[in-house]
Amino acid sequence: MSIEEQIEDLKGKIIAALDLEDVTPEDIDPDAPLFQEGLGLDSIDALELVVMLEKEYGISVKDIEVTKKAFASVRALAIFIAENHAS
Amino acid sequence: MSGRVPVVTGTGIICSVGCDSESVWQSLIRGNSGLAHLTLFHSTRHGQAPVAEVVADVDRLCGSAVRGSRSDKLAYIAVRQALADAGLEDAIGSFGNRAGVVLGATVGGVRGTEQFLDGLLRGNVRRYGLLRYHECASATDLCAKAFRCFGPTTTLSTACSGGAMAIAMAGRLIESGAADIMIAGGCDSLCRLTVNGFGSLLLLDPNGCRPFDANRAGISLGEGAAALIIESAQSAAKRGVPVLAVLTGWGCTCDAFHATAPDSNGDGAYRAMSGALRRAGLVPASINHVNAHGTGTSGNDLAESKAIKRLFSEAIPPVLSTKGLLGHTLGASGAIDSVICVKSIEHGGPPMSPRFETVDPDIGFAPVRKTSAEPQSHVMNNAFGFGGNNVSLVFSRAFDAASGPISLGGPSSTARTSRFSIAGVGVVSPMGNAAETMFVACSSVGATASLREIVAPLPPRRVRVYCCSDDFGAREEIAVGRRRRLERIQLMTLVAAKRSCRGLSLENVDGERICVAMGTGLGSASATAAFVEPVVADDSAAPSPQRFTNAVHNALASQVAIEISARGLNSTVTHREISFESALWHGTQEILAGNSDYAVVGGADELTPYLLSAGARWGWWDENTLPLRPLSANLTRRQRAMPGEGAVVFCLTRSGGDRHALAEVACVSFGRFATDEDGKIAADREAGWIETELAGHGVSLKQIDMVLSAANGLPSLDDMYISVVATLGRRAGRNIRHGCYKHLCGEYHTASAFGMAMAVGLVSESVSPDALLSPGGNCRVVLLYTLSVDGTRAMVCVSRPGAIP
Repeated sequence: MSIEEQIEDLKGKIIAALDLEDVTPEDIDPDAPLFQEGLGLDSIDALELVVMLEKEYGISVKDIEVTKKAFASVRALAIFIAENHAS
Repeated sequence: MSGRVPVVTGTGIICSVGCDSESVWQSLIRGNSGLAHLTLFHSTRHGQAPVAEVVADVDRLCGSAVRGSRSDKLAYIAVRQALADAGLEDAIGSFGNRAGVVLGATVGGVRGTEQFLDGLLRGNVRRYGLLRYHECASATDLCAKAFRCFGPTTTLSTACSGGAMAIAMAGRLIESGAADIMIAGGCDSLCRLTVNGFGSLLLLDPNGCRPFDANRAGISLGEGAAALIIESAQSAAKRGVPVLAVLTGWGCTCDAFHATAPDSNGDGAYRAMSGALRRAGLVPASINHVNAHGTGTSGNDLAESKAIKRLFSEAIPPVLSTKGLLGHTLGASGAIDSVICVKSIEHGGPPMSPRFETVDPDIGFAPVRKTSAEPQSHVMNNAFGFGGNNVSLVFSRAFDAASGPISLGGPSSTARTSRFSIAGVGVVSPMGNAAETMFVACSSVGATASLREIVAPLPPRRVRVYCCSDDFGAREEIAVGRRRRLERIQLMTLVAAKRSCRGLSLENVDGERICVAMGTGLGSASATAAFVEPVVADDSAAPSPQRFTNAVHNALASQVAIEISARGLNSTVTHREISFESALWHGTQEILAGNSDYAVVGGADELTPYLLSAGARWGWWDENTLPLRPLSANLTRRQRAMPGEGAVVFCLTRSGGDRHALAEVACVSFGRFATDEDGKIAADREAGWIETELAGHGVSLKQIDMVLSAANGLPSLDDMYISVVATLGRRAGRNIRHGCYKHLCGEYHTASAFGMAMAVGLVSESVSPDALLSPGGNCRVVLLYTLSVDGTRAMVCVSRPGAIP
């Protein structure tokens, strides 16, 4: 899967994991910050995404610091998944 | 020292490093750690993180006669010890309704509930008996019954500050004159809910917690219980027992910031600490050491250190955290640390705070590295919970219990005869979702509630329930970004709370002057079940962290605080049928003590599948006729109860303001009732209690037009109400009418909040007495009266404004 395809796939998974009833995939800018601004997500949403990463991609995150870079944007997350999924 | 000053005359602890206060103290000053491998249950996912388990044989320590959850038994052991320490083990029963129990607990019997689910999932074994101890109130009721306390008895569930808030509440009960002796403390056992919950928040330090260290990486969980005997100085002097310490100060605040994270600038913590100092009449320099909350999480320790630096400026006293040795015992921790404070006043201190290596430059100070034995005059104890529920306590040395040098310049009042105005009512109920329309709906002929059939799962069976409509207002009232994170019960509560404040311009009131107190029997039991089920089924599963934060009982009051920016006391009470009334007491006392101008107080419970199944199993629910008909004249054919749900919230303020009040509250009292030899309520004694409490608040029994009871159609309960109301009538020398309301809202723990809305409707002539099955003329004064089959009861006097001077 290319990064662009991964981004589209991730948008749907993020909406489902966080119950973002008022958000469509088109609303999500892949380069916008996921937290605070943008979708207005908070620290518990970040932890829900950690669960999603484990369930969907088998990537286990034990330290929330790791997520700060990985969750910078949907694109950053797609790259993080590509790097960790492959290894 | 005034006679009503609360003093400590006994302590008890059971935790990982010892089974009595003295051995725990000795262990702490030597720096012995209770952290070790988790053995209580297996956890593939989090089994590596060390925990502080109670390794002693809890069942043996209790004795076989004591029935309850692990948490209940831990509480019983600590309470028995504290009573013996205070010389009260055999004598406490002689204090009748002047001695009570208030405990803080977070998980209650969830460990047993997990074992129930485990049996179900693995062998389809239904050990319903385990569910009997699910509620946090179970520990409190066990202790109150075992030691024959009939005074104020309730349970707080403000997460990690529960034990400390219970002590603050006990202090207020003593000071206000509602009791002479209180058993106060906290308890919590380890369970999958908390191990997986904190694990899902990535808050478990794999190497054991290191409070205030630059390399801290989270908490270590522990378990245990602690209790203090808090009594009036007068009572201690009369009994001739030594005063171990004086509870000079307490401060309770809320961050109103986030479900789990503390406000990063530590403002709520600072206000709790400075409030406790102010109440104690002390300046910061008087404090000899701070027993910090110090959990070892990045967020708590940073926020707490900011608050400490702001309060003490350059002269920071020694700071310690016991959590590196005892783990974080959640609801017990504030009580355990309080006992440690008392011990350090007794023996000198402070004890060391080990496992610390590196100063965090953002914190800038190190905790106590080595135990001292300096005399301690004033010691501060902090306990901060999820939802920014902050409590700070100050314990002081008693130089002389009769007339010591301790200044008590605090603002608290001991007046009991204040009146409170009900300025607003917000409802989400099976009879409608706005007070005005609900009053009309209830009063119309042939009024019927919203009823539904839902399927209880074990075994699948259809149960008729009273149900709130799905469009109760969450979409209109709650922003979408918050709505998606919350459970149904939280949304119901938020909608009711917002509507209770409508038109009162609370946004113009300083949030520090608004307190929130919510009662709930089971909290978000559906979130608890949804979190625990997958974890019990597979101990490597990754459950939802959001669900965990919602499963914590005090998510109710703390989410209300966020929604309305209320930064005063924030309390969630979980004591069965009197949860709402205890919350009402807590809120109104904050107004009376001068800490708040407004109290937002309510009760909420939701329908949950396991409750329906357990209730069906225990024969609670009616399966035949609709709707529920309590107090039916045909005693032999009375029906059983029907489950219901709802959230009803009131906004109260001190009477005498210029606002238009819907009704007034003149008296709120709660405690335990006595039974006679054949187990029936001792109606004469009960009526005597009601009459005395009313008189103490300036209300004559003759003024009561109607008792509005929580009769629900279960003959055993309805008979108790009928006999008490008849006895009250005989004492008053006139007929006192008996109304009820559960045919309108169904049976749930906090239905009495709905009942109070009906009382408001009655005295404001918005609800017809016919609707409450008590035809007759209008009512000016109504007594809301609620019993729990587990032995507690409460009463609230609701009147037309001005009807009671």
